[in-house]
Amino acid sequence: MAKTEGVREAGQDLDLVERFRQGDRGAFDSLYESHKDGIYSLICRTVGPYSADDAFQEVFIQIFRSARRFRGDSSFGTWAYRIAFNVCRDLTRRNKRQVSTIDVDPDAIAGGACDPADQANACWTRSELLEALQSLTTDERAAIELHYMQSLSYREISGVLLCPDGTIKARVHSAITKLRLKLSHLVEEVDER
Amino acid sequence: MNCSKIDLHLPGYLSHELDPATAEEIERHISGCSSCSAKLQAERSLAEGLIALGVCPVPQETERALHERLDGIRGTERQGYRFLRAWAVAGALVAMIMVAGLLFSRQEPVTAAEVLSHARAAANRYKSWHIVYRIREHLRGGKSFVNSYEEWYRAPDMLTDYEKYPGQELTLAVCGSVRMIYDSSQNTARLWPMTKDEQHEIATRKITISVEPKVDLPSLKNPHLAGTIVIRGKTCDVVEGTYVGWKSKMSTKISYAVDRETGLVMRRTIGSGPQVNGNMVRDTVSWELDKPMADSVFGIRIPKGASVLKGKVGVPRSYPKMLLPASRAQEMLRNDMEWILERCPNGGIRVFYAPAQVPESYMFNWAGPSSVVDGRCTAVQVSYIKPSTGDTIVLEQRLSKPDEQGDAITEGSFSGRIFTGTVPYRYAVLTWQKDKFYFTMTASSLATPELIRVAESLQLVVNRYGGSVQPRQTQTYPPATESATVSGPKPVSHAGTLEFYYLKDISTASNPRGRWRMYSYPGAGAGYSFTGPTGKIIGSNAQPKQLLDEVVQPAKNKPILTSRDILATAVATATPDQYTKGETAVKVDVALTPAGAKKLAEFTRTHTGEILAIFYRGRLLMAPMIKDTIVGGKVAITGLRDMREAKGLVDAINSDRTSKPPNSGIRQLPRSR
Repeated sequence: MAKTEGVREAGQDLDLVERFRQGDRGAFDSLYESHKDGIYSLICRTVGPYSADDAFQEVFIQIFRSARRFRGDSSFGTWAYRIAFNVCRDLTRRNKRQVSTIDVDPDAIAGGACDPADQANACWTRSELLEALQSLTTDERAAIELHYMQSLSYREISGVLLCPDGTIKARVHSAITKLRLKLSHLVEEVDER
Repeated sequence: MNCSKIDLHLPGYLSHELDPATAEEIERHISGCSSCSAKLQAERSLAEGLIALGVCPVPQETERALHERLDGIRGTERQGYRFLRAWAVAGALVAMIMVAGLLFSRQEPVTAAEVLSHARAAANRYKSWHIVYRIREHLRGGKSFVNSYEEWYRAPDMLTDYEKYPGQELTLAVCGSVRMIYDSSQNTARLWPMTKDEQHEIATRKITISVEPKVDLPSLKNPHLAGTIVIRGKTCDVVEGTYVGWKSKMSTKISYAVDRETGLVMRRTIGSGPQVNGNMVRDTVSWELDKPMADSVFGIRIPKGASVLKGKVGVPRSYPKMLLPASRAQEMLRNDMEWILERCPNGGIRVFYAPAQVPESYMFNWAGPSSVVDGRCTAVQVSYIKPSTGDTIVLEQRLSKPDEQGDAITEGSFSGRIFTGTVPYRYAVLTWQKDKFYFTMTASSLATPELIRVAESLQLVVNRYGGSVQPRQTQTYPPATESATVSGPKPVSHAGTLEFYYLKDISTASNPRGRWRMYSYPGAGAGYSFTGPTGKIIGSNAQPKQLLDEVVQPAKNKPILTSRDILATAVATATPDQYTKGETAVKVDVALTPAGAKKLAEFTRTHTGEILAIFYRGRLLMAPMIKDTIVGGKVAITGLRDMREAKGLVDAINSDRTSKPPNSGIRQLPRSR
């Protein structure tokens, strides 16, 4: 089901890009509306909320400027996410000299969903999970964000991060292992109870 | 399929991305394997938690700002066509204006370039240097890219460190706290990244360092001379220009007042604009860097919206620097300190104080995190520099135990190592400890009374905030009232058992052919471990005899110095260790006879980079690497377990002045005939 929707959306995006090329201003707005949250979320969780606003604007300005040259080799979403990830990576490298940390404001990057602690099986709170996410590398965070929060398949993620499927699979696995380790004491505490 | 492969496939299994055969195989395995079944449950729970986080909605303000920028771009594109049509007309008009300007202007043409060149020359005269590190980072995937980092030094002595000690391990504040070995012959360095991200991401790094004169003027667009101004009796050229934000591309008007004599920026004024260096600037801000600081305090203030993670405050990416009236700054600092202490009982320092009476000729140079371990700031530092001499005061505040994996910071970081080297700088470290907060002040190359005044004022500031300066209670033996030449208590039977050996068979950078490798254990008197070519391990404390026989080999390796070369003026000192609570650092200062001093100087001159071992009663006390020629005939012996052992050594040396040649434990071993 998800796949079918993805294909339909990809087709719609191509149509919108074509209209944008012909000068339809509304087409770009439609593209923006359908991808803005996903892209902002990727940026926010990859570089942190303090840098996210600037990076987000940069990404959409790049998309605006180069959308006319979009060739359709991949879906528009994949292409846009790739731009976003490149901007994030660029920003992370530039910021390394200042402080190689990502500031996490749980309220800012938690999204609007419910607290996982509310779920029956969760043994940790949202902020603990978010903190654990900070122990991951930039690439791992991006892979986790795209795979779980945005439900992209390995293949789609490999198109964004420009890595083979196997690498993405290993990256997700490595990230999950790290998260499990980070959160393991919380699980044990619950088990002991 | 075994358990480890199942583990790899679990995320794919949960997201239904596996082919049916693999999925079926996993299901079959899980049904019979309780361990994998538990893992699947845990992973499912984790996946649900991650999915529940959802996506972050875009803040309205960000959207509004983006739309404004996009509208601007659209407008420019539309105007572009009109502009093309009008190009010929406009070009002609511009040409006419230029010709008119040349004909009618009686003023000098724009001379900002001259100002800059003058300032550059002045900065060069005043040893102002710009060091660019071009770092090629090789990623694990085979890709590589180049990053450039910049450091700006006015103190020339820091540069001599690079040039004088090739191969020496230096700790520098580049990209937080990193460790690097610099090879001056190749002009390259190896750098160990400290953050986890980097460790995963980066395979190797190579650094190329270039040094060039630097003027503290950013790359302004369209710089022009706006006039002159006198600040504190110094004539300054005012250079105006536009600064364009890296990301936002917003332009902001900035003016710099450059001292004609020194080339230093005396005043910086930032015009109103939306963003400068990552900070939102709503109003015009101006500050004079060379303002008298007697009544001012620099402070870094963390906005109260800073995030708190597990009791630690998140580190904002950029710090606003403020020069405030003392009263306002102190109030602000007190509020912040209370706020931080309330939320971070285990540490997390984000506020620092500066002495209220920093000499006015000292310029604020830099403030920010001096060390980052695993993405957490572990130290904040501010430095002042006296431009004419390069004298430096560094104030640093940090955690005594910043992080479980923070081995980088426990090494002492900036407490005088880089600044001192072997140059006989006078420097002092003042330590303030409250809970786990740490406050140190380091100063180099200062006149002592001035340094003391600064230290005292710092102490006052610390006291004002409820901290207590713990004076370093130094215990000296023999007591200062006694004459150093007076014998101590009853001489021990093995008087004068101190011997200095050259460990020629230890592998070092200078002596790669050495067969043994040496590792030191942390802690006072903990000793060393030696690993031999066949994997044999000898502990210096557990197997002293084996160490002598197999590693030192006194039969064919005569000691460089013996007790005969040592004057009977030894003094033991016990000082609380500045970085560890409760531990005491014990050392014995010994002076050598002129002949001994000459021998040591000659030996160290020819064996730089190799290991010198000092034995006491057949036990290895210390085995330092020789970093430079030791002149002056003074040696500080550490590695003693406690003050009692130190006193024994002092007694042995001081009582041996008139005794016969020593009869040490080492000499009990058979010697070559």
